[in-house]
Amino acid sequence: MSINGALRSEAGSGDQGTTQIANEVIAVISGLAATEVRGVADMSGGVVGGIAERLGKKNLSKGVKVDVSPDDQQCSVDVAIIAEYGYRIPEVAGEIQDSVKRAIEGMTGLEVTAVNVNVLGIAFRTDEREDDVKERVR
Amino acid sequence: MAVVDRVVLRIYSALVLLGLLWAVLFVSGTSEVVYAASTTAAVEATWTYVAVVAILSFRYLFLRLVPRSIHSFVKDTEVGEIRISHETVRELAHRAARQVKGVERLSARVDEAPEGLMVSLRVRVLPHVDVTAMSDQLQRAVIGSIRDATSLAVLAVHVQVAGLAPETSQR
Repeated sequence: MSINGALRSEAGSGDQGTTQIANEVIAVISGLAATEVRGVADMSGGVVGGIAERLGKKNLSKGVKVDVSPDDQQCSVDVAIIAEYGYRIPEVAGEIQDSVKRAIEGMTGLEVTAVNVNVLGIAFRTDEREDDVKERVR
Repeated sequence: MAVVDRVVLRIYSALVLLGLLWAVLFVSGTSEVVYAASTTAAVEATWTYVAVVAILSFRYLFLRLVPRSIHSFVKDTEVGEIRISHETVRELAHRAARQVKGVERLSARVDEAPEGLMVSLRVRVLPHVDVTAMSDQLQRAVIGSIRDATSLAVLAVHVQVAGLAPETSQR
């Protein structure tokens, strides 16, 4: 019944059976919702994720940790992102929280108790960096 | 850190491959290899090799098991927490400071004191620069940049002028 031990969460049960949603699905939904927010340069998946990515495996759930409550009705999500330079991080984080919450609640019906945003780094666009160097040369 | 890990992992892979190759040649009885392995230098080399590979193996085995606590500035909201890592703030400060005229080289550090966030800058300045004015500019640039990007209040920006760039380095 369970896919991989603690990998499922129940989204609804009716007379015709139960619906179960794997944590991985919630993670992918969160990942996609978060990357679509302006000001998010990338998700941060750590060293292991970075290596997997280099091998050509696009990991949509990178940088997302999902916790589902024991009664399978609520979940909380931790997302780790790299912010883009020039955006206000609190605003970006707030938008991520809203959009992740909306996406999960809309698509799975689970109640989202918390979306924790971890900003682990900041990315400067490369063309900007070149401008910088030129500025300093002048 | 991640960059270092990536490089080390690559070296590690190369080492293991080299060892395997050597072992295969030895087992298959290639005469040069068997002869070379019998010298004392080879014994030393083998132990060094084993030690290096063992250390690297341990490093990668326990890399993920040790929960790396990432220091962050935490902000509570109704929909969860926003944590901005010290590294992010450091990068912001570094970038803001780098754009100030007269800075040749610099390193930034971020600390969280009970009263607030503190930034320490160590700079090497270009010659013929008014250090006081530049420091003032640095402080303002860093505080402004961090406030704009993260809305965190900066308690203090310490500027340490570590030295002068040599006259020859033309910018």
